[in-house]
Amino acid sequence: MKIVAGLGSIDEYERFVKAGADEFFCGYVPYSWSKKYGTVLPLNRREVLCYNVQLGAFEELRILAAMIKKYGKPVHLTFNSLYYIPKQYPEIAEIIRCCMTIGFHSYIIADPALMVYLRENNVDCDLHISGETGEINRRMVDAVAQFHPKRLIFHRKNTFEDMESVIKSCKNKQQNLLSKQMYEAGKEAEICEFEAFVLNELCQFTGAFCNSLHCDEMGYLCRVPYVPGKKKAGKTELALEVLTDEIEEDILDVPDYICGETGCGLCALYQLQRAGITHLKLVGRGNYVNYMENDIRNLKQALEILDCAKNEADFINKMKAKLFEKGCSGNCYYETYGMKK
Amino acid sequence: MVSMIPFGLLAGFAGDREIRITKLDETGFGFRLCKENQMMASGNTKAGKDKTNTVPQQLFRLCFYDLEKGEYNEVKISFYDLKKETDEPSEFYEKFWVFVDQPDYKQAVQSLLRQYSRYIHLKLEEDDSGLAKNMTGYPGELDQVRCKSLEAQIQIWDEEVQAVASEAASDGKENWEKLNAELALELDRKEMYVDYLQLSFAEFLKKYAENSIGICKKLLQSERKPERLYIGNQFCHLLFPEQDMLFKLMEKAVKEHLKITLVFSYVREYKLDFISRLLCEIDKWCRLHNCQIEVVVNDWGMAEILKNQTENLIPCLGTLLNKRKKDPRISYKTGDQKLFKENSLNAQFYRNFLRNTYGICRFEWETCGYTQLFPIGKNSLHIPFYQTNTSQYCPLFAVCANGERGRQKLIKNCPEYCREYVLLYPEHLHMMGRYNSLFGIDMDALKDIKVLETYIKNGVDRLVIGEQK
Repeated sequence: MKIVAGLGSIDEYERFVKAGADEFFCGYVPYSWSKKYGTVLPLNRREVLCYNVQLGAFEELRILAAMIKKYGKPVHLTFNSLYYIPKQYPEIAEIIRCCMTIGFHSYIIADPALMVYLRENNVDCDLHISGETGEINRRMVDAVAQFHPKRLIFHRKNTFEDMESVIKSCKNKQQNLLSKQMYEAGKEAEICEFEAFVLNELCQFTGAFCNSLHCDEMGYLCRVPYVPGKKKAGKTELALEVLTDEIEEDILDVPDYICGETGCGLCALYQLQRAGITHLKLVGRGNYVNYMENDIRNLKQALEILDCAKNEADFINKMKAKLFEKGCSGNCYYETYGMKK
Repeated sequence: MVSMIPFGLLAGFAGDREIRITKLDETGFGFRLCKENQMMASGNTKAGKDKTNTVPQQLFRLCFYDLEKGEYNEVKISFYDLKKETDEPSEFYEKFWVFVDQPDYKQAVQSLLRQYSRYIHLKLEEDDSGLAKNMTGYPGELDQVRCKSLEAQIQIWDEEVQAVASEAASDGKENWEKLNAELALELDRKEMYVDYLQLSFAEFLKKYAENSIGICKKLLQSERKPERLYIGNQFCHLLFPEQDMLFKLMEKAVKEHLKITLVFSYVREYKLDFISRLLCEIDKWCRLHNCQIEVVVNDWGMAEILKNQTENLIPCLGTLLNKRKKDPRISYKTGDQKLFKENSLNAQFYRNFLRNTYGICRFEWETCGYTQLFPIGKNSLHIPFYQTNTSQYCPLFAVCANGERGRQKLIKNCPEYCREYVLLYPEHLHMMGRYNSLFGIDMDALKDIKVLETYIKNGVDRLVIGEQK
């Protein structure tokens, strides 16, 4: 399985390549877009201006293209907002065409309307179906097949069984007629790559169904203080303390590095591989560079251990002994392994 | 000297080339250019001012984001000195420093650094409520949950509605006559399915009205009765009625001359075959009853199934696939709020695609606190709730069973904590956590009949009422 790491700046590319990343994803939001739409209608799901989570500037993309040429580790651009408004579709197509001229060919997209627009307007880019697109099942894959995607990114709340079933189904599919019409002969017809989240930023809600704001000036809606309570008035049986664990999660303190502190699926690597996953998403654009670098190294090490493991238990034991000597975050992406603090 | 200010806050152009400003202060700024595309051998420097006929014009343009105004301030740099930097050379790019002596540039730099510094301090020193309060005027001091139950919260909201609902206080019949749209009721959980089966429609309606507030209550107490039932839940895959119950509900609805819309959520992979078979059974039922019924689709896989395997089921695009920004704090968002009016369904090419590929011509919308521009066609408006967040791994289950909302897993056999429990949010936000989702409640739609009148005038042909209590 290949490591696909988030890139917040071109300055991280070489470091992350050396740490073991095989591919990258990043955002590019031209000034013309931010000027017109600010973060009211963002181009991707990093809906902020005050953080270094987008590459910024077309010239940076040119530099990155030169780096890719040397190191051969591709970068996929994210245009994965859940929706756009009519006048934005031709603008996005134009941005993508420009990026393609300098060597960026693959795009992570979540909005089905954008998929329709790109294909109807002969924008012949590689398409990665974003984990923010919607629920993923075998028939959903049939639905997106008409856009001829190359890669399917599973969302954060897919089980191993879901993934295995979908991947098996994909491998058995015949090329459909529409895709034949829309795509040049000889190109890859079926989804052949499958990506799963493996480190950082485990969300309590689902990206595809998260419509609330993620902007500079306000925190996430899901982190607003809440208490569990009863529907009807009367003494509640549940503790009503405000769940401060999330509220206090801020950039106030810089904690010591813990691999997968905000979401970890390293124990799941054996099962992910078994399910047919080909790529592992390591999110964290804008995180501390040293942390991201450590994440990549740890994931690389875990994959090396996986290569030599006799079975799942052997893999988990060795991996934990090597990477989590002092214990793990317990913030598991995949519930199978429980949430051991 | 400040390095690597985010591009969103500080963009730059050298001529027409979009560049990253890598560092800046009041005396100038740094940037870099790809070596393969070098062109900055000379510029419109002061030294070369007299040689403008022989050197290419390089007008720099720096775009400073004003965090207070939410817009960019562009500063053109016409005269400057340019120096190639040689420290820490890169094989991929060359670095330059531009000396600037321009008052508007200095002022813009000062303003950006002051605002950015303030933002960082707020992020470090304030919680989210404090940040939002300082940045937008959002009433962060109200971000506390005071009520112990949803019932108590709804009581507060009801009083709030009654205090201002001049129209709502008038006769319901009169209200309804103004609203030229089909009226539908949502039956979205098991208690409601049972109630509907056990009660006469009149009793059921009475109970529904008692559990509603504001305009919804008035509408349901009016003489005109709902013509349609929405049966099922758009957001939770476990709240759809059991198969036996479903057909009983459908039979009763037909007997009571009510039209039917079946509402499905996303379809988990493990339920795909079951749903596929169920849809075929429903299709068969329609053939027997010589009717067609609508199916709200919230899953692209389901759209595929309906397209290929059924003849009598008419798909409608559900809320989970009809995306837009929804947040009870949205009025505080910086930027051009008018941009929220539209979404992808306003694009004709997309509607054509949905119609031609899946036969989808009706769209499910929610009233969500701001003006929406509806496309030409069939538009159902759900009132008064709007969904903001949903998780397939139920957060409420995680809280109730595991003590933490983050300790989630896929639930296949649900003990239905949602019958008794909710997540309560600060009262001023008018939101709640029900089953696996968070919802806002559009108070304006409950307060003033004119809100619904405007929606109908602007393209809504059906109102779908959801029970509030």
